[in-house]
Amino acid sequence: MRALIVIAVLAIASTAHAYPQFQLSKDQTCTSCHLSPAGGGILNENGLNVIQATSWRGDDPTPFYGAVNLPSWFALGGDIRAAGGYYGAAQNDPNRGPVLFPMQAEVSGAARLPAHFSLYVTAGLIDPEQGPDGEDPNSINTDTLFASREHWVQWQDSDGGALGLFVRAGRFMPVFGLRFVEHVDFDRRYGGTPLYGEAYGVALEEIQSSWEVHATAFVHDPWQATTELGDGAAIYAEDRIAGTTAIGIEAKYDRTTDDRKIYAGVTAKHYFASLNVLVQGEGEYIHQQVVAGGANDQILGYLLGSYYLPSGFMIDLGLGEYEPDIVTRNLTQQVADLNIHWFATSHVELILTNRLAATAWGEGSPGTGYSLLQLHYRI
Amino acid sequence: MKCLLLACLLAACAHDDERPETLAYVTEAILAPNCGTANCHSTWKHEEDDVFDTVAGALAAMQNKNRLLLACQHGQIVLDPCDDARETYLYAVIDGSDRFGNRMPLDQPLANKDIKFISEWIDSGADGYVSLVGSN
Repeated sequence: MRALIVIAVLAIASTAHAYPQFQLSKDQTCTSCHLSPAGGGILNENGLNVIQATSWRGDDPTPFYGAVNLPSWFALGGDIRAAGGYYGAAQNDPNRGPVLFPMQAEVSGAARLPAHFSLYVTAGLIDPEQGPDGEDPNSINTDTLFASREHWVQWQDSDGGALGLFVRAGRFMPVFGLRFVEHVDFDRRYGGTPLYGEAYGVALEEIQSSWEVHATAFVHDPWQATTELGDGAAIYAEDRIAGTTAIGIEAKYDRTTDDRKIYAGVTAKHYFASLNVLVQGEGEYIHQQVVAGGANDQILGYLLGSYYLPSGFMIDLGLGEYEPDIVTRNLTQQVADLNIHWFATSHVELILTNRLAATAWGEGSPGTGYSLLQLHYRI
Repeated sequence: MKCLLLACLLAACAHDDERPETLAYVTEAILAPNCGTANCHSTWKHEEDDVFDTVAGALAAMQNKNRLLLACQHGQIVLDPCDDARETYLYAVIDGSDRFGNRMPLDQPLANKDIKFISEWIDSGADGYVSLVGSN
C-alpha cells in the first residue's frame, strides 16, 4: 500500500533538460547540441552526431531512426521516461518499499519561420491534478493530464546557428545556474529551478563560444500547472576562461504573494582531459523574506564529478548540502548521489540513480535514500 | 579581541530556534520546500486535496478538513484543538507515528528541529491558523 502511495506521488516526476556534463567535455555550449539556447530538448545535427558517437551502439539518431522524412524547416524530438526500484533506505523508514512509476512522455517540435523567427513547443502528459475540490481527493482530473510545458517564439540574429543573439518570448524555464537533469539535486529543488518551474517570460540571450549571458523577466502562469508561483527576473552569465574551464555567476528575484526570494550564486566547471573527468559545482545564497513576517538566509551547494567510460557509460558522483536557515542549528541536509548512465543506443539510455540523504549528518533526522533504475527513450 | 571573537562564535553556535511561530513562516520556510513540491502538495497537484506551497493553501488544508490540527490521532473529529500538539494528525504524519504508517514527506523526513518547531507552534496557539479560523 505504501509503495502504491509512493507510486502515486512520484508519478511523472521528471522533465527533460540538457546534460551539463557534456559541456566542455564534448562541446563548448548547450546550443552546440540543442536548438534551445537553454539546452535540453531537441538535438541539432551536431547533437545527433554526438549522441551517436557517445552511445554504445550508435544507430541512426534521427527521429524514428530516419524512417520519417521531415521537412528541412521542422525538427522533432521527445522523451519517454519511467523508473522503478527501491525507496527508503533507512531501516526504520515507514515508507520503504519497491516503487515503479512513469516520469515523462513528451513530444517537442521546432519550426523555422521566415525572418530568423522560430517556434518551439513541448507538449505531452504531465502529472495531473488530484480530483476537483469536494470530490474524491484520490481521483484524477483528466482535464489536466495533457499540457504544453514549453512554447515560445524565438528570434535569433544568425538564422539557425548555435551562436549569437537569441530573443525568446513564451513559456519556458528561465536560464539560471547549471540546470542538472536531476530535479532532486539541491541546486534545482531549493535553488530556483524546481521541477515544472516554467513561467511566461521574455529572455535576451547572447551566446558566444567563450561566454554567454541569459537575462529573463518572467511572470507565473495563471492558467496551467506550474511550481513557479512568483514573478521576477533571472540572470546567468558564464565565461569559459579556457577551453576546459568555465565560471559563472547567477542572480534571481522571485516575488510571490507570500514571500520574496533573492538568489545569488556562482558556478564552476573544469574538464580534466587527461583523466576524462568533468567536475562542476554550484553554490547559492538565498534570502527569503516572508511577507507576513520573518526572514531567513539559506545556502546550498552541489558538486558533481562525471567520469566518461567507453561503451557509452558515464558515472556521476554528486555531493550536496542545503542549509535552510543559517542561524538555526541541525537543519542542514546532506545528500550523496551515485548515478550510472549507460547510453546503450542513440535513443535508449539506462540510468541507475542512487541517493543517500541525511539531516545534520545523521543527527537531525532519520536518514533515507533510494536506488532506482530509469529507462529513457529519446524519440 | 580573540576572546570577543570566540564569544561571538559561541553565541552564534548556541543560537537556538528563534524562528517566528506563525502559519505564514511555518508554511513558507518548512512546508512549502519540503511538502509543497511539484508532484505532492503543490497548488496544482494538491495531493489528497492538501496544498502547502502557499499560506492560503495551507490554511485551507487545515481549515477544510479539520483533521490536520483539530483531530487527534484516535480518529475522532473534534471541534477543539487537541490538548497536545503531538496528538494532532499533522504532527503524527511528519513524526512518522501515524497509525496508518504514513510518514511525510515521503522522500525525506523533516528535520527533528522542524518537527519540534511545528509542535511548539501548535502548542503555542497555532498563530495564523487559529486567529483566522477563530474569526469565522
